[in-house]
Amino acid sequence: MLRVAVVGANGFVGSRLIEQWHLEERADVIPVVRRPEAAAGVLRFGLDCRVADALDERELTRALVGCDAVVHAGAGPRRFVTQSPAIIVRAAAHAGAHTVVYLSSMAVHGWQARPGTDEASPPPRRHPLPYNRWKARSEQALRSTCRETGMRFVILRPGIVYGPRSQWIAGFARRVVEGSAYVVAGGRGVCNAIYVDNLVHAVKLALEREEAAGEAFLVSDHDAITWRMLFEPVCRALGRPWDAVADLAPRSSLRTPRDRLLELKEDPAARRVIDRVPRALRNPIRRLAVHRLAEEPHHTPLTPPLETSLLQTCDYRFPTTKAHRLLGFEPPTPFDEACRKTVAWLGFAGYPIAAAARSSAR
Amino acid sequence: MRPSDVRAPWTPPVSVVLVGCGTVARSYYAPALTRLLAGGWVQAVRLFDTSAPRAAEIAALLPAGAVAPSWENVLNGHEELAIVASPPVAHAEQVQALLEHGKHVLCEKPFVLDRAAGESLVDLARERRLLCAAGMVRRFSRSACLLRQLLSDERPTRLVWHAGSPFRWPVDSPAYFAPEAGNQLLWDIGSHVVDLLVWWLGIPHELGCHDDAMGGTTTNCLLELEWPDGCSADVRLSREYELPSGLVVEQPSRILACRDVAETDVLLATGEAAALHFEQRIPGSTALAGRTFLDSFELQLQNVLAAVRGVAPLWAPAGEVLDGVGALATMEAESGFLESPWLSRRELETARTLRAGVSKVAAC
Repeated sequence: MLRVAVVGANGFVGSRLIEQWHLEERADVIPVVRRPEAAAGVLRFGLDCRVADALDERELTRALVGCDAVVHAGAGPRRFVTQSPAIIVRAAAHAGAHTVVYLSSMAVHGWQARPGTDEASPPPRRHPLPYNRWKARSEQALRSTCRETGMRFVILRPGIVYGPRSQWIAGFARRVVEGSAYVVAGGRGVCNAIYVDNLVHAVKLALEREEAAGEAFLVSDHDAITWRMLFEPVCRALGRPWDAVADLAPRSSLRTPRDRLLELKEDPAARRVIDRVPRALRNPIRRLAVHRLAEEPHHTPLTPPLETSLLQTCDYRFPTTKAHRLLGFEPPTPFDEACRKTVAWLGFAGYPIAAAARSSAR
Repeated sequence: MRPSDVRAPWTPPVSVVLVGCGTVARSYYAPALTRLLAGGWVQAVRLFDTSAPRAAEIAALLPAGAVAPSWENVLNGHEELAIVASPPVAHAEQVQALLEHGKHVLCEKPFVLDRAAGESLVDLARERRLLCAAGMVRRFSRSACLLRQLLSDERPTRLVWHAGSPFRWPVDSPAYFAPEAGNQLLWDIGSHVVDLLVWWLGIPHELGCHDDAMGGTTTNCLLELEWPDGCSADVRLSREYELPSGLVVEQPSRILACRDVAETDVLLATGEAAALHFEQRIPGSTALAGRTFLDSFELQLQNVLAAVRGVAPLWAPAGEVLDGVGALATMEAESGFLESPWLSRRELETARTLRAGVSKVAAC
C-alpha cells in the first residue's frame, strides 16, 4: 500500500483526506502537523502522526522518511504559502519520496478571470488579493524546485472547497444563526465549488496517473452552481428563509487602507511590531480599524470584505477539461449528495439544524 | 486590579511546592504565584518535574523559585502546600504520597480518574487533618456562581451545552493524546462541565455518552444526563470544531444563555444580563467571583492558601467533586460510538470495526 504523508493534516482538506483514505484503506496515511496539539483531530484513528514545521527542511525530511508521496494541503500566512512548497519538495526528495501533490488554488488566475482562461493562461500580473499572488508565486517555486530535484509533481487548483468542516459552510451557518448572514449581488455569482471528497478523489488520480506528472489542473464539481445554490441549503437546514440573508452591493476591487491594515495581521513581521504597541493604544486602534470593517460576527457589514465581493461576483466558470482528459477526473459526489452530507455535518457539529434536514441527511 | 494584587490579610505566608511543570504551570501557576509572592500570600515556591530542565525553566519565571532535586526531596521538604499539576494518570499516586507526608494538596483537574481512588484520598486527608482541594477553577467564576443560584431558585427543565474549539493547548508531543495519558476530551473539558452540572443540579441518575474514537483518542463526544426530576442536559464537547452556542438553560419561566461560563455573563433571552447586582464573595479573598479565567484562577489559589491558614473554608474540596468523577468514569466505560454522518458506507464499516477494537481494549 502507498505510504502518503499529508502536510497540513489538521486542516479542512487534509483531515478529510486522511479520514477517507484511512477508513477506505486506500493508502497508509501519515499525518504531518506543525505543532503536537494540532494532532488532536487525526489521532482519533490512532495514526502515526509526525510533528514537523513545513518551513524547516531538516525537521520535515525526518518526518517524511519512509513515505512514497507527499500531499501538501497546508495553509498559513504569506511566508508559509510562498516558501513551504519548495521546502516540502526538497525534504521529500531527501526522504526518498517520489511524488508531491500540491493543493494550489484557482485563485492564481484571480476571480475576475477573462473568458477562456485555463491552466495554460499565465496568471495575471496584478492581483487585488495578496493571497492570489502568493499562490501563483508558490507554484513557480514548486516547479523550479521539482526541476532541480527531479521530483514528480502534480498541482491541483481547486476553487471553493466545501463540505464537512468547511469554514465556508460553518462561517455562513454561524452568521445565519446570529442573524448577520449576507451575500453579495444576490449570490448570483458563479461559485467554482468542489466538494471536499471530489477534491480528495482528484488527489488520488494525481498520484496514480502517469500523464498527470508535471501538470497543473483546475478542478471543480460537475454541477455549475451559484453562491446562493451553495448557501441556501444551509439556510433551509437552519430553518431560516433566504430572505433573512442580507444582499450587499459589490464593492470596488481597489484595496483600501483598512484592507491593507487587516492584511498586516497575517504578516509575522508586522505582528511583532503591533505586539509592541501598548495594549492601551492597541485596543482603540483595533476598534477604529477593524471593528468598523464589521469583522465582528454579530453584525452584518455595510460593505463586504474585498475577497468576498470578488468571489461572489465572479462570472466565469473555470473549465475542468484538462483534468477530465489527463486525470480522468469525474467528480464522484453530485452536488445534492454533497449538500446532504454537509448539512448532516452541521448537525454533528452542534448547529441547530431543523428536524427535516436531520432526517433527510440520514 | 487583579485579586492577587491585594496583600494577604493574614500571616505568615504559605510555602508551596509545585509538582509538574508543563503548560498549566508555565501559563497560569507561574504568573499567579509571582503575584501571590509579591502580595505576601506565598512565602517561597519550589518546583519539581521529572524533567529537571523544565522545572528550572519555570523556576526562572518566579522570583527566588528553586528546583527540588528529587521526588523524595519534595515529600520530605518543609512546604505546607503542594500543588499537583502533573499528568492526570499520576495524580492519585502523587496526592497520596503528599498527604502521607503531611502536606495539604491542591490537585489540578481531573482530580482522579476513578471514584474509588478519590474516596480513599479524601479519607486519607480527613484522617491526617489535611486539606485536599480539587482544581475546579470554573467554580470560582461569577457566571458559574450566578447560575448555581439561579438554578437553585428555579429548577431547569433542560440544558444544552456546547463546549469546544480546535485544540490549541501547547503540548510536548502527540503522546499527550494517548488514551492511557488521562488527557482524553471527557476528562479534560468534560471534567469542568460535568463538575459544574453536578454542583448546580446534584447527581444525575441517567448517564449516556457517545464518542468518535476509532482506534485512537476521542475528538468529539456527546453526553446525555438526566436528573430524577426529569431535568436533562445534552452536552457536546469537541477538540475539533468551534462549537456554536455555549450553554442554554431552559427554565419554566425563562431561558438563560452563557457563551463561556469562565468569561462571559449569563444573559436572558432578550440579551440583557440575567442579574446585574449579583455578588459572590470567594472565601479567603476580598475579591468577588471572577469575571475572567485568570481572576478565577487566582481566586482559587487565594482560597486554598486561606484554607491552609485556617481562615476560610475550601470552595472546591476534593470530596465534593467525586460525584462528577464517578459520572465521568461511568460515561467513559459505557461510551458508545458517535458515527460521523458524512462517511461513505465503506468508511463506516471500517470505522465500526476500528471502534469495536477500541471497545475490546477498553474492556481488557
